[in-house]
Amino acid sequence: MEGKKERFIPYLFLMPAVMVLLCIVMYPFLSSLFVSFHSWYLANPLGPRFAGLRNYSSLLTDPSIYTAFKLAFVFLGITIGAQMAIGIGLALWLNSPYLKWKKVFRSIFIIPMMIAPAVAATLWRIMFVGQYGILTYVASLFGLGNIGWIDNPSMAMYSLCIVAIWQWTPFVMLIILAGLQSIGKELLEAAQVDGATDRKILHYITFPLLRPYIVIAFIMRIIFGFRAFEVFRIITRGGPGRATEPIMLTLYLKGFQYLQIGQASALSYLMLLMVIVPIMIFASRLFPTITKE
Amino acid sequence: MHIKRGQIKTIIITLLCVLVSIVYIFPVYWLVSVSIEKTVDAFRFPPKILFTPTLEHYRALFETRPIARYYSNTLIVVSSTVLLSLLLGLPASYALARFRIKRKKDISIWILSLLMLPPAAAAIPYYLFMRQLGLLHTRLSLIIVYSTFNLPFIIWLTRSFFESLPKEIEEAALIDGCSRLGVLWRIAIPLSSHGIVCSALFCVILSWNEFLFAFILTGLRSYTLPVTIMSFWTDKHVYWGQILAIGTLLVTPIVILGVVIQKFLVTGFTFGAIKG
Repeated sequence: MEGKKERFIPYLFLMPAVMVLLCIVMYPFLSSLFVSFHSWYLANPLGPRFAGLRNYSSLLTDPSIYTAFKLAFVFLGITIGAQMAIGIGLALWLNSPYLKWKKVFRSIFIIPMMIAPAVAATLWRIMFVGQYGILTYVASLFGLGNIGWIDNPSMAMYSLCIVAIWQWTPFVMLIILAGLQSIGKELLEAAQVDGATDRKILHYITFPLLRPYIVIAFIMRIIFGFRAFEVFRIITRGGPGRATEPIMLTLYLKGFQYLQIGQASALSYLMLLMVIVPIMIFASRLFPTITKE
Repeated sequence: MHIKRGQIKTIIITLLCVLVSIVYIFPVYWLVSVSIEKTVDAFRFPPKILFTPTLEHYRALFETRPIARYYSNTLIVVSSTVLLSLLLGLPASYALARFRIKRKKDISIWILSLLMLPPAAAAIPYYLFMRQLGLLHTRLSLIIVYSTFNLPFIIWLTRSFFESLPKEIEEAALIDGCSRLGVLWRIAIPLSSHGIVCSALFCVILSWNEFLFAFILTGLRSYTLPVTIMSFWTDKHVYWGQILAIGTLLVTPIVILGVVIQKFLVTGFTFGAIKG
């Protein structure tokens, strides 16, 4: 009797969470899979009409969808690359024995990541805006003239990248800093005694030991990267033209601006496939701790 | 000679950090300064460095908007979702850390994959779901949606803390007649409280700042703070001063919280990394 009870206990612990997640995740996604095979304009009182695969075929033949995916990957590539590079650099500075007032600098460096993305986006919009934005003034001080931060189609995406880099570099910095602080001082001193230069220590000791931290920061940035929405919706609304409309914004516009619910559901599924499938395949390599038996 | 070189290094690296600090802090300065500036001054060209501060935007804000309700909506949503995620997530994470469970690996990967769900792709399904349930424009809808993100997060972040506890203490308690739940509540949770609090606070920050779902799921009465920003954005006029005033009110508590707990903010992430 006792043994039988023991066997059920693990499931009693695990099941509430799993059941809740199943209900609140699986139901919406299955029902929107159903919707994705229907043509449904939300304002139409007749409701959804069966459309077969038409939503998917019209999306797959729409070149602007490919552009939107491409823009998302360009945005993620630039911002994550810069966040990693700058984040690691700042962490190395903050860990340097030569730096004074470390706590003050660290406190200042982490502030952007605490600021609500919606506020950050609004704020940067004000700084970017037109002729009178402060950043237009700053650019003119450097002799760049009216640079058109968010009005120039070939510039706008990079301006948005600046915002994301400013906001999320601190996250990478904090994780790398935790990694640097976990490296024993004895190890570094021993290397110094043996005559290793700073550069050699960095290359042969610091970076190999930092590897797991770099990996975790990188993964978290990819996950959070797809949450970027505010900068596009608030700063540019995808403009000028569609120069800053990545897939995250396309989805929102299709669903909530044009009320094409059927197509938007189909697009949600395309995006899920693009994002989740590769991650699931590599999950056991990326997350050895959680996926082990 | 050696000391001198060290001093030069100190000066260079400090100057570099000051430079980066200016870049990092300037937008924050601008946030606060536009919110206490007359609108005509805020958009002067070239910009005016010295201005007479005014609280007119804040006064207008408190006179025309139910700020207290926005705050309480945000607080209710954030605290409910984080408490709910802890209540369901801690036993689950403990079970994954300690017990032998069939298909444990598959369950873990599934929970993890929820973490990677891009919110943009989840927006439409959740909107339709809440519409069907009749929960649009309620705080409950946000609590449910945020929990789908916070619960996997809590499970993932706290699991390695439970794994790192020495098994012997728990076994001793079991022999002394403590139930499994008692072991979790009296021993495992208190011993990993540091890690749990860090993970929970990270969820607090994410939920407090969340915009997309709050934007599509809330209505006038259930607005959380981040959404209110959009309501100042009318076709005729954009109330920049007021937007940034509410922005300042919104970010202040979180920035203070973040600076206070800065060292522990990423503990949940890095703890798992070491073991990986």
